[in-house]
Order: sequence, then C-alpha cells, then structure tokens
Amino acid sequence: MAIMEAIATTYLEADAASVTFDDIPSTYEHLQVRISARDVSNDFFESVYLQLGDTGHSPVDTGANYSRQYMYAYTSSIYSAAQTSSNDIWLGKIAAAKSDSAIYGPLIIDILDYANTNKNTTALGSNFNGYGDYVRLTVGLWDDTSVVNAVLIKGNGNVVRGTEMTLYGIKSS
Amino acid sequence: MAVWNVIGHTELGASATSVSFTSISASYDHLVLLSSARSDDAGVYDFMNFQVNGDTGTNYTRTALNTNSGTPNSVAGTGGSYWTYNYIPAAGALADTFGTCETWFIDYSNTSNYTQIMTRSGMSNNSTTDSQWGIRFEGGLWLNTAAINRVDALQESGDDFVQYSTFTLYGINGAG
Repeated sequence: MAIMEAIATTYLEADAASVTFDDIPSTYEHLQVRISARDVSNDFFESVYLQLGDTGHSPVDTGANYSRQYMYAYTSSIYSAAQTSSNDIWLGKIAAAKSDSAIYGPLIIDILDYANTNKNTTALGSNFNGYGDYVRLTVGLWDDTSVVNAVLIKGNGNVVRGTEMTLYGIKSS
Repeated sequence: MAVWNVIGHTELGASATSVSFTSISASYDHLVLLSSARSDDAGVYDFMNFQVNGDTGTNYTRTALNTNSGTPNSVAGTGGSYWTYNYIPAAGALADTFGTCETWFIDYSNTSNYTQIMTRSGMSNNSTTDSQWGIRFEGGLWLNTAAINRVDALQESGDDFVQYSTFTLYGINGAG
C-alpha cells in the first residue's frame, strides 16, 4: 500500500480560469499539490491563489475567511507582509505572457491535517515565478474547521494550456 | 519498494511537553517529519525545536531566513543545544489554529558525514500585527556522524504541545 498517492492530475488542454480538485476523500492525513503553471496576463509574472471548500461551501469558500502571511525575495531584496479577511490565500507568482513561452512557475502547497475537525485548515506554499527573480514562502489560514473536500487554484487571469497540477494524498498508517 | 513509509504517527490526546520517535531504523535514505502543532504558552506564538539521539549537548548549528513582521531577516547560530525555531501558534492566537512544519533529515544514517536538516515552518493567524505570526526556512547540521535513531520534538521550557497536535515521521527510500 502506497503512503503517498496521486489523487488526481490536471493537464490543461486549453486556458482556464482555475483548476479545482473536488470530492477529495478524507482518508489521508495530509495533502500536497504540485503545480507548474503560467498565466495569460500581459506581464512577466502574475499572482496565484488558493481557495478551499467543504460541504458547506461548494465548491470552495469565496468569503473573506482567509489570512495569509509571506516572505519573498524579489530581485536582490527580501520582503514580508500579512493580510487578513482575504477571499483567498495568495501563494505567490507564476510566469505570465511577457515571459518566454517556455517558462512556467512551480508551486508546492502542503495542507496538513486537512480532515481534522479540531483544526482550522492551514497551508504552506513554496513558490518560484520561473521568470527568475521571485521566490516565496507563504503560510495561509482558512478560518474553518470542516473537513476539506475541495482545493481550487487560480491565477489573476486565466492559467494557460500546458499548466499541470497534481494533488497527492499522504497517509499516516 | 515503497518510497514513502510511515515510521510513526502521534496525535496528542492531552498536552505534552515533547513527542519522541525512538528506535528509528537506519534502512531509509531520508526522514521527513510533518507536524501540525500548537503551544499552550500564554503568548501568541511559540517555537517547536528538535533534538536527535537524545543529544542535549551544544552540537547543533543553524542558518535561517525568518520573519514575523514586515522586516524579514536572516539569522545564524552555532553551539545550540537543539535545532530550529519553528513557529507555532500559542494560546493568544486564533483558536483552533495550528502551525505547519515540514522537516527533512537528509542522509540521516550515513556515518561518513554530519546529519543535515532543512525545515520550513509557518504560523498563520488572523492578525497583521508584528510578532503575531511567523515564517521560517532553516538549514542546520548536527555535528555528529552517528546514524539518527531518535527524534524528539520539543517545546520551550515550561510549555506543552496542546491536544490535537499531530506529528508524522516518514522514512523515504531511494532506488535499489
């Protein structure tokens, strides 16, 4: 029995506003999403966001129930900031239309204990924009103790054809 | 042969000052500890630390990128008696909120070199106030070439991990 299993992979054959993994079983201990993505926006790189869902929010909660804190290096400087009452968890930046067409931005999201109803759900994201000048570590909070059954990833514009996202489940026994 | 293997999993049914994984087999290539933890310290945040093989000596070094405000910094230290200052929420943080920490013990059973760790941790909170949240990326060495057979997750002196804190230790295999 594998401890880490691929629950689903999405490879975009056409541009899309978002990618949603829903009907996630609650049988794992942790979730991880690995992403290689690019945005259509007319810039060198663009923001990428996470929203989460449960049985009371279908497919995901779009309310102002998220907090996010992050630090990032942009060119030769480092920054950090925090926001609350947000509509999503802002996880970082991915390459966009002004970047070389072969450039996509990687992002790994760890969502621990997602099915534990004694805890709000938190996510830890590690990101590089692909363009070469932005790297970031983010922690985010969804103020909801429900079992997570949906994960949505979206860009600021559409994410482009060729974007790939895989959701993994990690067991604890 | 499975790549990921569960060595142990603990969800605290009551507060505890530490969580230990003992008699760890040397048969894996790497270890990774995934923790979702909270402290009962009276403040807003606290730290989770690690020791290996029960070594309480000053044999731990560390370098980190760190922030809990609008001004991130870098820190380094030698001669520590434990590793890492992983941020976790404490009693003053938003209720039911736990910190996320992923710690890799690379090549932990190779007796030709010192054990290396890398850890990423984050404590979110419904606050933008300085020192009410924290993020850290840290690397470190244990100045000992022994194979790791024990990992202890520790609280700061006098504090406990609270109920529902979880700790899962995985053994990661290579090929062959």
